[in-house]
Amino acid sequence: MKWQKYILPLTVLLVLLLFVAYPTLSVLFKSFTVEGQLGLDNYTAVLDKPHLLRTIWGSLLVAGGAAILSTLLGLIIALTVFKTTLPLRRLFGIAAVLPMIIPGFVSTLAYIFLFGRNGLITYQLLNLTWDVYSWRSVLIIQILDFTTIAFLLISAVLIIVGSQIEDAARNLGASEWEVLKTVTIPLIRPGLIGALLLTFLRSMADFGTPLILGGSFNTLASASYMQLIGTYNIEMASTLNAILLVFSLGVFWLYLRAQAIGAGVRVQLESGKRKVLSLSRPVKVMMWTICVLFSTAIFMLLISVFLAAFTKHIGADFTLTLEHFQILPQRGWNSTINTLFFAATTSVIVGLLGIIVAYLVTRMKFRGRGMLDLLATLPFAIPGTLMGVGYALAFSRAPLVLSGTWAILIIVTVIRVLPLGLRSGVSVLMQQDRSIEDASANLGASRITTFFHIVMPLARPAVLVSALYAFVTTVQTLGAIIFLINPSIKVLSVNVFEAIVKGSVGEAAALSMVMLLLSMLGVLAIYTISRREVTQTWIRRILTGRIAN
Amino acid sequence: MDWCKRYRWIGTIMALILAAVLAMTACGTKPGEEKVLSMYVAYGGPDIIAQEFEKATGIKVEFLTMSSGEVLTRLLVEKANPQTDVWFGGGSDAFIQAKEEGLLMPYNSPNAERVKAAFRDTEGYWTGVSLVIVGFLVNNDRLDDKGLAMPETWVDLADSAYNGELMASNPNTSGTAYTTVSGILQVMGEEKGWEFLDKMYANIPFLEKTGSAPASKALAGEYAVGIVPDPHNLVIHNPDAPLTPVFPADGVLAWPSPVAIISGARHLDNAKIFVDWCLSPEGQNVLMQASPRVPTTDVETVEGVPSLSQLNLVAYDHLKWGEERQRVIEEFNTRYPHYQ
Repeated sequence: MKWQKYILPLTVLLVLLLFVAYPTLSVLFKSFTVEGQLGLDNYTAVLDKPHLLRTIWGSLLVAGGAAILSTLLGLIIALTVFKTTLPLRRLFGIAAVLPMIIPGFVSTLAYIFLFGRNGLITYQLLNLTWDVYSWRSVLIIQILDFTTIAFLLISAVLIIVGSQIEDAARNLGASEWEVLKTVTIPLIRPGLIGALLLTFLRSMADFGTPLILGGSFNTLASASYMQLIGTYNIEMASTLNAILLVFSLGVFWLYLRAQAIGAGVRVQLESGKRKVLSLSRPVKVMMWTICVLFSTAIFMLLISVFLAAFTKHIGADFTLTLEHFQILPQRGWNSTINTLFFAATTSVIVGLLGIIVAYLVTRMKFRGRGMLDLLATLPFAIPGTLMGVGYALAFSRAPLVLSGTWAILIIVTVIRVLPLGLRSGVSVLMQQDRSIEDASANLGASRITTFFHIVMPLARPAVLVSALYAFVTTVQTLGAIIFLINPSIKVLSVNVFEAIVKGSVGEAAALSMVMLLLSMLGVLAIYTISRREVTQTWIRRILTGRIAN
Repeated sequence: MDWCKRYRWIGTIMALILAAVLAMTACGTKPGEEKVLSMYVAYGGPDIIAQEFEKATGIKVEFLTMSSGEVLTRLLVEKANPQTDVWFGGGSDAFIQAKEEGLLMPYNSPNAERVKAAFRDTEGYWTGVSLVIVGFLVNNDRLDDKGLAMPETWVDLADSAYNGELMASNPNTSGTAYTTVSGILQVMGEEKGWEFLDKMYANIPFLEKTGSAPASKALAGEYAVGIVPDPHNLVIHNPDAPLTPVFPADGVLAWPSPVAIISGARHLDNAKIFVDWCLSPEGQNVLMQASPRVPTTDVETVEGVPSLSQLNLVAYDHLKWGEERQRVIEEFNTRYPHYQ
């Protein structure tokens, strides 16, 4: 009966092959065709272009910068929130999660309103003329955006680290700084490298920010998007995307190496309370200042959204008005309900699937494990548009026709968010010692019992984080689903896009407010559910099938 | 052995999730009802159009708004299994390519007669329902602030006073920009045209990738003048912003925004009814209300929208410039390599 052990890994692998590899290859295949003929002409054409090197270099620098800086920022905020007693730390925690719920269209609008050539702060207050449309703005907005990912991943591991080891180090005479450097940081290392990987991939795949804020600065993703949407050249778009993937795969390989080096560090599971680090004053002041600056920037962006939605015209006429909200009864309600259903479904699936895949990747030994890990991480590196095109190509023809259904929307969204679910699960499981699981097994518990009674409760922060992220991302998702959604299905993100096409900033902002509220509602709901012990056991019962009989 | 058995639970859960998702498949696609029409829209105010069309004909419209390029891409990739009946709105260049790719079905609506021959396909693959015109969107506050004069013509834009205050999009990626460049070459002739463009582009610090972006820059007061499609549109939708639309006196460039039926449409009869209705006087009136554009027929315009007779419209040669695109773009890239 040995083979039965492989049923689950095999199923997951097949699902990922079908919903990651197949659509990705479908679209990459296009890069090898020229007017229906197989060939490498697209690649020679691309390599001929003198600005290609500049584009690649620009993408890598911005992605590297965004990854390092947002991980650092996420680490500082997470340490401040969970490991100090500094004032306002709860506010910092909220600020770190906020960028996630602010729709991208809104944050760039707000950024330009504040810091643009006619910006409230840069021009009207300080009378500066700076080159706002450049790689710098892309980097700034990406850092603000991705810090959330880093913060979430790092928090998920930081929360679990008890203070016994830290205390041990202290007793051995280590200074607080040394405790942080030699104990705390190594313990949350899986979270750190996970954050570096994901933010790098996300930045490489982000085409929207360079498109709006980049000016003449191009990345591989934005160049690929414009080939597809501007010049209708799907082959060239696919070629540029293939080049993008080569670099992302390289970084994934680096990630695996880094993870293997640090694999020795494990935490004993502790019931002990988290203790604060008593860091020296200058360090604390520095951390606190960074948090304040970050939070100020985020809250200013948020206030700008309110201004855009509740005033006549942001930047020109600040008379308060509710007229932009007139669009809601006409367009909003049906979409709101659909969006809610859509987001709730994906968040449940991502929360569960993420930890299951993470368990397979970290705890089980089987051939194809690396492949599984790669397939479940890859979607973060593929721009949404290309993913959507891949799905449309793959699933509008035999053998599996899914186009136009709710199912394809949910699947593509789950797949696109799964990398975060997986990474947060992996970082938590990597960090934990297996002794309790082993004990559970020795006492005769089945793997599945161990999974639900030991692994799941311990990995709760990771499941929570990925469910939250999935919910919020789904509310805003557009790039991939625009190629897959059936015209009869209305969702909020499409409505916002309609308002933008129409050219009405106020209506787009008003609809974004609804998205924002919905996201907050989801965050609150998931948070509340996860905190109540009753609900937890209820969920566990459903999962293990032990519904009160 | 025990855990082998228990493994089935995970299998069951996964199967249940899969089943639930597949069950929703059934909800997503409605059975082929008679009075339904599905369309991809790259046009403003689709809700109003859908509502009025249903009132007039009893046919319910299900629409999805996308950009023109997204519609074309989506139609291409789902060619094997078309998901929609009608493509409504967008740039004629995308429709011309769609026709070449075999994505459209010809239909000669009796009402197409009302549209000038220049604004529709000769074989009836698409028919222009309105025109997108290229003009300037001027931010009055910024213009005053910088002490600039209101530009009235293309030639005005060559004035170095506008240096750093003029914004436009890139012809490599934007239909608006390509129409501008090729239209100017047509009006002024190649030699003089490039001479003028050299001066105009010297005033533009960088080029936006999409055609609509310069308009939002002018709207936000970041640049005094933007070269944009349908400059009156943003003025109408943002009445409280300090904006002036300018239709250049020395030549307005335009392209038709068409309607077309998708090859393999599931509701072919309804699609034909829709095309007829769009081009009828009633339909044209509704379109005018939904999205304030210069009409292709003689329907009356709403306030703020110029009528065809008020504009010095260039008889832009779509076929010629469509064929010469590669040459023009290469020349553009050689002349202005810094925009790449």
